[in-house]
Amino acid sequence: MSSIRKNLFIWLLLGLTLLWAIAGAGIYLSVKRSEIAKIDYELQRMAGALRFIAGSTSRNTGPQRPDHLIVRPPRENFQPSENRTTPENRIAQRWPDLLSERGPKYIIWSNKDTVIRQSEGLTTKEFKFPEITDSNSPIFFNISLQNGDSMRAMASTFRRFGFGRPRPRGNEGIRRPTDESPAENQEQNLPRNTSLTGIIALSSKPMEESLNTLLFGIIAIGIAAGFCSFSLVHFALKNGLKPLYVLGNKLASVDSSSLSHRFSKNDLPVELSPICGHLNKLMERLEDGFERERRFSGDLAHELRTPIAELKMMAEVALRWPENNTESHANETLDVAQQLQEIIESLLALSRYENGDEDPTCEKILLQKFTGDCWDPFVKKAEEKNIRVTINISNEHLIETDPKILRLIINNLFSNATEYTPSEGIINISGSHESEGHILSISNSVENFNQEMLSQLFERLWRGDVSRTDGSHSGLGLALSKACSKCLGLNLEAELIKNDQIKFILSRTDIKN
Amino acid sequence: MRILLVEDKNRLREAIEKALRESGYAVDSTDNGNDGLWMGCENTYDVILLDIMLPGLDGLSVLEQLRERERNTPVLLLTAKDTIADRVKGLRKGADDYLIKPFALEELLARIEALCRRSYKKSTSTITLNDLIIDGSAKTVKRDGNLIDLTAREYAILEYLAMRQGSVISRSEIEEHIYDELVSPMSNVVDSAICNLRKKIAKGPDDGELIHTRRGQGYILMPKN
Repeated sequence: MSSIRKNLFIWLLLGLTLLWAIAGAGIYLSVKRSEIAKIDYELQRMAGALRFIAGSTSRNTGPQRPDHLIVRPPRENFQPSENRTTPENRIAQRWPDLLSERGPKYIIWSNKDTVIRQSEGLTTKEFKFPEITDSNSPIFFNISLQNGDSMRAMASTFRRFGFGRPRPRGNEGIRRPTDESPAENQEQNLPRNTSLTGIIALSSKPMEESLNTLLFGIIAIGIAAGFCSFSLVHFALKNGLKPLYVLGNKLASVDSSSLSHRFSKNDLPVELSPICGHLNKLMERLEDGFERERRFSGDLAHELRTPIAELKMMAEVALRWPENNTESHANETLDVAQQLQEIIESLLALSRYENGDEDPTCEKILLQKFTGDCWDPFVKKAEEKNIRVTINISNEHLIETDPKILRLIINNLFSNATEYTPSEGIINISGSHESEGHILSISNSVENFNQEMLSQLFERLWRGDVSRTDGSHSGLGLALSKACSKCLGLNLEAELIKNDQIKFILSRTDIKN
Repeated sequence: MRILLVEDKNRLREAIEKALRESGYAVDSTDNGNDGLWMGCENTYDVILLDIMLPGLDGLSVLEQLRERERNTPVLLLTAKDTIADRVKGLRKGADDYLIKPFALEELLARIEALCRRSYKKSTSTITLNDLIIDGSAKTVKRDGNLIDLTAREYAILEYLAMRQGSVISRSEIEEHIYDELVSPMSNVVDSAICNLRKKIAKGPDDGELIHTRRGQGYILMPKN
């Protein structure tokens, strides 16, 4: 069985976890990008040094920090020639960190096969000659060294610094090869505006260390946030769904004795308000249904208990004082038994018709003759009460239905009409053409009848006479007629006309609908 | 004892009426609430048997109005309504007992006796006066251990006198409680019944009377000194 709480819990937790993961990844990537951008900026800044390195007199080892830069002489002093602006000096002044131990590594090619400068310990296996298509756009990439270090590198093309052939700078810092190799000779002979290709690389280890720290931090915060989210979602759902549980508990406490209870919308959140409204309507319907059933049970108990009490009392009196027994006593006992039998048979018939256990056998009947036959047993009673009866049915009016069931319906309606029409009252029986929907309508005068009574008219065992004194009726006739009508696919309705006349209309359900 | 029976079902009313008369009660009956209320207010009854669902005025309204008019006659509700709510409602309106239809005749009679005893503040159904024992359950009278054969009416008079022993009871009071509306006020049925009763309960010609006549006042049942 699906659970709202479980579903919400899973989805909220998954959603929050995803959000945390995206946020963590976003932070990590943006920091990484920023760090890389910083290194790239640093590389770009230092790339200018390559020109000077290429123009310096030293070979392979790259520029060395001159001693005079460590202890700078007073400016007013004469500057010796070695202190004047040389590539080494320029490098030391502008890119002091280039000369530090943790400074960048570089390599400079004059062409693909000739390395003219390179940092110590580097090989061309690690720094391969880059293919640069656009000389104005440097290329950035990552390099993994053989010792396991990783570096961020920038490859670019540039022109060599200086004018003409490099001048000798005394003995220090100048390493003039005595047995110059062809390559060295070639380098010595390079023109000043020769295009060179260089790679400068900075160790990315500090960046990776800080990124790793950040990653661990993000993961740790993520785990803590996950636990917090779990607790938060659990708490939020528990509190959020509390009104639902409260409503459920209230609903569970409803039983047949508390159907008059209505749920208050004031204590509930707005989302549950419509449900509460529907529940209250359901309670109203249930209360009506229970009330109807209670009334039916009470009425049935009365209808059955009273004749049984009569039978029992008459039998006990007859047994106790047998000398007083007469024939009328036996007849009365028989009448009571007959009354009980009629009630029980009516109840059984009602049950059969309501459950659809009876299959109608249809045949064509002339309504006028059929109705006349049904009316015959009631003529005498109508005459005794001076009731004015009019029957208006066409002699050609033919209907196809089950005559047995229709007779039951019409007999009950006629019995009802003659019983409750006051003396000097009227009964109108009219048959409409079937195409109009109405088959038969029976109206009669009534006294002390109101709209509320009309709504209960077809209820089982309902009687206008609340004291139920008259034992010849049980209040099942109209309910039985209604059930029979349904069985025939007909609809039986009653309407009150001017509060002094009631009209029963038997019509076809299909045409009405 | 005089009983009012208000029941709209003719057959049931007639059967109960017959059973009560045969048991020695004077019974007045009616089939509607309005008449029942009028009779309950106008006459003195020892018990009223009242149906709830009545034409005219329903039984509970009759009961309510009786109590409003300070008629404290014990009322036994006879009804087919069997729910606890109905019983509680009936008892709270002032009924003294509640009997659900269908009921056994024996039970009805026992409850009526109990209500009568309660109205005369007797806790048991047996009344003893010297060697005279009146058994209200068996409706028998014994004197010195010998069963005395009494008619229902004679038994009723003796029981009524015994319940109020030591008090002078007028002829009209006896008529009201023992005889129903059909008895003429001018008849001497009470005197002749008392006379017959004296003869029947006497142990012999020389036996002193238990039922004494107070001239111009009525009768009194007193133990012998």
